Order: sequence, then structure tokens, then C-alpha cells
Amino acid sequence: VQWKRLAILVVIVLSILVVSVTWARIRGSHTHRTLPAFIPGTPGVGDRL
Amino acid sequence: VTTTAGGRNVAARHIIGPLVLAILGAHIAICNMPGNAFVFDEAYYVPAARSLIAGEVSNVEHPPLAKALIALSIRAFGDHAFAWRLPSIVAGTLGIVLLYLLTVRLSGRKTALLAAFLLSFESLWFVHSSVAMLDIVAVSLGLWALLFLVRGDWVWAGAVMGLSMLAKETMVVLVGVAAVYAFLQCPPGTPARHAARQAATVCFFVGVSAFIVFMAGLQVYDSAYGAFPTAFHHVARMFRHNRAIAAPPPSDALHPIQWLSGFTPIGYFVTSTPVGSLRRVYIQYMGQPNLVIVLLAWLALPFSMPLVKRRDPNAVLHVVLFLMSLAFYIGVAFTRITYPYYMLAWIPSLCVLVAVFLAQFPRAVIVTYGVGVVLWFLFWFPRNLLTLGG
Repeated sequence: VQWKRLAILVVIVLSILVVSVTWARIRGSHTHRTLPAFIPGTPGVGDRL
Repeated sequence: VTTTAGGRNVAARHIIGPLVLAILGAHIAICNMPGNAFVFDEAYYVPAARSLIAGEVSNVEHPPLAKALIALSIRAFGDHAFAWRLPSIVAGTLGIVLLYLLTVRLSGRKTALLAAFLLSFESLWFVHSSVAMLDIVAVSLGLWALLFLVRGDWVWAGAVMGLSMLAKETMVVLVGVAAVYAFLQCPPGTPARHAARQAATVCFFVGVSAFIVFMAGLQVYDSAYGAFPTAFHHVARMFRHNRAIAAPPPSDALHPIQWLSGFTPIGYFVTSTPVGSLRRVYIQYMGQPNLVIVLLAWLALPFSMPLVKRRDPNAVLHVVLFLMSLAFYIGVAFTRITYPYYMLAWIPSLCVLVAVFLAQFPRAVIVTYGVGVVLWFLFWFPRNLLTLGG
């Protein structure tokens, strides 16, 4: 029964992943990447665990 | 005896609802306080939620689920304090209900009600349930995962642990807890090899399910925001970030081994006005647990050990979670700074262990202790109740 549940989970997760990745590629130009380069030793904003 | 136990069960059912509603009401009463300023690390996570809405990448050192809930709340109710804090309020209140349901299943309604009461009036749990941070969402999802685990639904337990890790990555410790719990749930006398095989099976289903959900969740974020090529790159960045944060010398930081001994409260957000030569405090969000509960760990934990030896599932689960979580953070403290609010991961388990310890005493002892818990909670309530009169 655990294998069956795992299979169901994989199907659900893969479906969500495919739909969202496809959607993201279609509207890809609308998001803008603002991630700063990572410099070791200077965690910057959000440096709490 | 049956009548008394039945009466207690009915009483527990009748008390848990009003208890949870009272705590929810207390959260709602203070949720706009302060309304125009951030409490503690809201300064990181509310801007991160705003970035999510704006389609920008930020705060990638933590996974996005809790921040996404804050963003959803802002989209639904507007960009103000109530909306920032609503996900934590809901998660913190549901966490009390989940702990009650978990303990009803593993122990009984009396212990469950006591544990829910203790968590309701645990100061650190209440304060963090009142602010827009990640921990309460993560730990409450973790409690939901444990509910699946004790029912034997390993895959769904792992899936919800994956969600919990998507709120805060440190909840990965629950996968280890599941394995050790499974090992210790084998009856006494079971050959070690048999118990190890059972633990490995549980660890496989829980771990794989958690991994799938966690990585897929990260990938959804990375694809939608163009943050990283793959979720694996994202995880590598999280590791690099945490390794870059130095561990201060033991004398300069509050080490996890000090969490159980009481420490100087950390001011998250405090407003005060001078009254003569003194200062009068009006708002006091403090980072400190309810010491009436936490200090009892020194008795509750040893008391639980004979129960663990008898494989009592309630004691096994919470002792394992408490010790593994504490050990995890002691290990983390060697490589980077740790903060006392990380103890939120094991606060619900401590409440259960203290409840088990208390349940053996006469009602008068329990009531007296309960009054002490409530008094501590009221004294350190975020709105200083001593100043309500003026």
C-alpha cells in the first residue's frame, strides 16, 4: 500500500511540476532575475536561519 | 472508573474548543500591534513576500512556502500588519489543535488537553505565532506530518514533511525522527536487525516522499522566478549561505545547551516611555520561552525514560524528537550562529512530555502549576497588561 501511495504522490507532484514549469516558460519574460552574486562571508539580507 | 474517564473525555472535548478560540482571539487582539513596523525578522520575510508578489528573487537562502503564504495573505487582505501575520496566527493556532489530536491518538484526552493547554500558553510559541516568520508554519506542518506518521501513512507523512521543509529547511530532522521512532516502536526483544530493517523501510518512504515534495516545490519557485537552473543549484546555494555565517565563540552566543537553563530575554520589538528615572514598557515582543514549562524539562525528560524503555509510543516520539532536534542544533552551533527561537521545533514535544509528567499528580497540583504557566504568559504578553490602565 505504501508503494501505491508513493506512486500517487509522484503523479501528483509531477503534474504540478510540469504545469508550473510550462506556465513559467510561457510567461518567462515577465519575471526579472534580481538575484545578487553570492560572496562568501557576506550573507547580506536574510542572513538568519 | 469508566464513568470518570468518560466524563474527563467529554470535559476535554468541551475545553479544547474555547481554549483554541481564546488564543486565536488574543492573536487577533494584538495582530496590528505594531501596525507600521516590523517585529524582529519580519524585516526580512515581509519584504521577501513583497518580492514574491513583484516577481523578484530574494531571500533564496530559505525555501519559499511560508513567504508565499504571507504573499497570498497580502494579496488577499492588503499590505498591512494583519495580512503579514495571518499565516503564522492560523498555523500557530492549528498547531495547538494538531498537537491535541496527536496526543489523543498516542496517549489520551487528559494528557492531550494538558499538552494543548501548555502549548497555548507557551510564550515563545505565542510570540512567534503572532509575527510573520517561517518557524511556526514549518513546525505546525511538522505536527501534521507526525499525525500521518503515527497512523502508519509513511508516504503522506513524508509529503507533509516536504511541505514543512519548504517552509523551513531545518525540518529535515523529522525524517531522522521518523526512522528512530520506527526503530523504537518494535516490541522489546525484537532482533536489532529486524528493527533496523523496519526503520530503514520507514526512512525510505518518508525520506523519498519528503525529498520529492521539497525538491519539486523548490523547482516550481526556481522556474517561476528564474532564480536557479535547477532545485539542486538552489539547495547548494542554501548550504553555501549557511556555511558562510560564522559560528561565534561560545561566550559570545546563546548556545543551544543554554536554552534549557533560562537566559536573558531577547527584545524583538519593545516600546517604552520614561516615567521619572524608570522606563515603562508598553509593547514587549520578547524572545524567551515560558520558563515555568521549559525548566520542568529537567524532571519531565528523566521521567519519560522508563516509558521509552516500555516502548510507549507517545514518550518515544516526543523524547526522540526533543533529543534529536536539540542535538541537531548543537551540531549546527559548531559551524554557524544559532538563535534560541530554534527551540520552537521541539517546544510542542516538550509540552507533551511535561503533560505526561504532570498527569500523575493530583488535580490541585496540576491546577496550581497551570496558574503559574498562565501568570508567566500574561506577564510577558506582547501588550504589557500592567499598563492597560494608563
